[in-house]
Amino acid sequence: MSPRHAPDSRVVARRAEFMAALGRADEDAAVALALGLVDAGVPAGEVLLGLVAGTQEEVGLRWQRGEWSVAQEHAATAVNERVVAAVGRRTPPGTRGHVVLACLDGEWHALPGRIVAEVLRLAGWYVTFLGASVPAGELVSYLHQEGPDVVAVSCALPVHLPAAHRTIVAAQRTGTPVLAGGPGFGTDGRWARRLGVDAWAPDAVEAVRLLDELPWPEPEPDQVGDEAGPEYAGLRERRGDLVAAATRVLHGRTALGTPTGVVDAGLEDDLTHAVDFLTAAVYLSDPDVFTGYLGWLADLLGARGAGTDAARAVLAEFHAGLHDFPFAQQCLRRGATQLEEGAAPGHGAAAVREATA
Amino acid sequence: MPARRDRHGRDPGGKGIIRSKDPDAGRMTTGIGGGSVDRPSAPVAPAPAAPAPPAGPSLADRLLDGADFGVLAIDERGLVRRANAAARRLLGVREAELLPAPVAAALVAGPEHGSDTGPDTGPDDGPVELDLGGRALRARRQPLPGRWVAWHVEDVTEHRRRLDNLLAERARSRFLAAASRRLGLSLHPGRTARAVVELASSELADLAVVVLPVRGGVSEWYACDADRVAHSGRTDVADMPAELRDALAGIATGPRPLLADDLAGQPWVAGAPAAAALISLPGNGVPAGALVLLRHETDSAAAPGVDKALTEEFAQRSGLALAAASLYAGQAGTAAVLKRSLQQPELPRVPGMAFGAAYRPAEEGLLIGGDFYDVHVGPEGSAMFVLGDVCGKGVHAAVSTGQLRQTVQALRRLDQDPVSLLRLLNETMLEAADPEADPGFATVVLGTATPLPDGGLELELAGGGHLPPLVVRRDGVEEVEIGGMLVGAVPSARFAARTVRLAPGEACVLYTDGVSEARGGVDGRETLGETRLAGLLAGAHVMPAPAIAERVEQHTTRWLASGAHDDIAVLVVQAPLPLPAPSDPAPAEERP
Repeated sequence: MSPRHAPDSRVVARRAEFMAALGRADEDAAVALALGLVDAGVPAGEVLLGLVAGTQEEVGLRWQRGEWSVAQEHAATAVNERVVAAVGRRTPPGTRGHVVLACLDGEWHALPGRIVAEVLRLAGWYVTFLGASVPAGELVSYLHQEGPDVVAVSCALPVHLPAAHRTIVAAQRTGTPVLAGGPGFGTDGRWARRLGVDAWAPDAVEAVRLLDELPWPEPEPDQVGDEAGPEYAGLRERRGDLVAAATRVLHGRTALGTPTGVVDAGLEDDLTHAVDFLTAAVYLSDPDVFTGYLGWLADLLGARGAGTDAARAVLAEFHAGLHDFPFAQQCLRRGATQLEEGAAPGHGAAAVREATA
Repeated sequence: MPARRDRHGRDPGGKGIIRSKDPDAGRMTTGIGGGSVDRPSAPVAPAPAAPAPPAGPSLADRLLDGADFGVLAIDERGLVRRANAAARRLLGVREAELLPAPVAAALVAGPEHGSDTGPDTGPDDGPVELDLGGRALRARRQPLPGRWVAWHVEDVTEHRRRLDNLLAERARSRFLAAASRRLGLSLHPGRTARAVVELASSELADLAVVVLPVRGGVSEWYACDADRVAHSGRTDVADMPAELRDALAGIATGPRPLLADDLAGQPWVAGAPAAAALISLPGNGVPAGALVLLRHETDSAAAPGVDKALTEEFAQRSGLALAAASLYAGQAGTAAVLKRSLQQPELPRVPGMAFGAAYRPAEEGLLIGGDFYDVHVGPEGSAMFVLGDVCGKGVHAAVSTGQLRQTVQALRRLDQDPVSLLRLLNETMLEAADPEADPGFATVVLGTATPLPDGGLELELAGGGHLPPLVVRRDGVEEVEIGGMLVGAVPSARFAARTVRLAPGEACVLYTDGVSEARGGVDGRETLGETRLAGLLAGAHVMPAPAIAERVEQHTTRWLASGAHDDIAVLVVQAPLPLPAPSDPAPAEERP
């Protein structure tokens, strides 16, 4: 989620200062600055989209370029969340229909969802934000108890889509229409449609517009093919074996040659992440899910001055271990070609980059 | 030029046809074998040695008159030249007269007869359906020579009625099946009511309204029109028509019409409906609501509730769904109130220290479990915090955590020392325990935090048999082994304490075994373990406390191979992050 409109000049003027506060994890300074802008008459939506979402993108880039550690990125994000909450407290609860917003299970990028929640509240909706990684069971019992008009689900990374699908189906089975948002559904929302959601919004502004159009027509049924079923199940089962085999190939070294992984905690985390993206690509019968991830990974490695040799070795190892998985192998071959050519990242790379920002 | 002959060898234009003087009687005297007509290919041509024709109607006339279907021949001027008994009965035509206007209109109106197609083109056009005098007829046109036309007319009234009934029955089953599916979805009374009105307005009425039972003098209502535009609101019982009150009270339950006077002033009425019907929705003993169906058309066939059986069946199913939703809402409401006291608390903000927490019960839909944490603001700027794990899972364990938290809340007013508090807690739990029940022991870490002048924090941690907390230092992560015995298991249990000093940014992480014993990883059977957890926390001193707690929860759930897990609780106590001078370089360029 990022602002695509010309930001308010008053916001632009204070952005460096705000960024510095995020860098120090100085919650008080960041909150005071944001609230000061609101008090000065800058629309709250402008502060949320222009200041918070804008700087959050910069936070992600700094992590990606290796300028900030994971810990610093988390700290800055946590401060931004506090800022959103503080700005949100200035907005009276809406009186229009009730919208419940939740990040799908396994999805920990709460900030975009939190911002959207506040923008919807500003548009007059009564919004409940359930937070990051909401288990499907918790969401469903909430829907039965509160009976909201719409449930909005946020997904930043396509790797969570198989789990997202289960949650979406469960929510629709309560008779509640599902609005999907976040780059995890594809920058053009194609995976949202494939999972059979009632509506998809690329950003908060579009979400507001879609909610004005309620009731929505009946959604198209989901198109997650049964043909992917056995291969998907097989990949889930082989997850551990694949990671173990790839670990042996790399002799325990990460792509960066450091004990810390590229993405987060360690090598196993990185490899599990890669297998999970592959699994999601198979689930959606769309290699772009996987090649998009690889594009993002290549960018990341490039930013840290590392090559893609390790990544390519991993792909080759996966390919060898998956001889009875034709679709997964197709994804892997495409990915290998992409890494070799250093090709422009395919569709989805932007999505991943944005989500991780 | 020889006269054209039709299939039966008659010469339509010629003098071969000799009509009787009494066309109404239909006794045609053109006899088979009579006259001078030559008919070499006539299918009914008798042998030359055929007996003399009988007196009166010919055999062909008798055969035609005996047929169930009508046959008539019309000449180029529209005059009926021949019509058998069935044609005369079905169409009311007479021979030697023009077609009656409605018949002519119906037959000519068929799209394939818009223009005269000539006598010999298209020997068999598609049949025309027409309604005459309340009967459904199907007519097939047959061109005859000399621009004559024959019509073969079949009475399909009975057939059509059966087909209509079948289709209507199918539509009814489809509607009821869709209704059952849709009504079974939600357990929320409002959403269920909305499903009822959306379904009803799609099939049974132009506007459907559900009024829910009266609670405290007011009723909630939900309305939906045929364009799927929904409204809802509340109405005072005093403003309701008496009929509606009776239906909601279960006094008058059957379908009944509503008069315009009854509807006047009702908030859900739009415009002036032409007809309205009311039916009560049967629930558990008392009605689960009342359904009002309104039509804007005066057409009697469209009057609401015309399909009485369908409406009643729909009302039955709607009533059941509403009753179930109402029952669930009642139970869920009660549970929510009880659960609220057992849910994990909002963390207080205490100057000089920061708290963060994460909580994920094993039964995720339940929101409560056997793990717990709590933070209380203490005297002189201090705070008391506790994290623990009661044996067991689910609701039973959650109830124990509630009692335990309340006990701590009360006891901390008597004694501030963590070890003394654990001792008191142990005695209280043992006294309160039901001797019949299983022992309800718990593992607990209880501590106090006091801000230090240098921005650091001093923690006094008392252990009650719980996992050792991890301290996130600037240069690594260390385990704080405290010791101590289970709380609530044995009298005079011994508890130990440790003092820990946190420099600014450093944090103490308390967690339950749902974290360290999370089973998963690469092979799906490995436990997460303290070592891996410590690795995860290395360098986390720059993160704010809530982000540290979330990081632990995030990695634990990602570690889990399957969805199943034990209760997970994390509580982080942190000395406030140091705020360096604002020397952080500004972003090189402002990105719009």
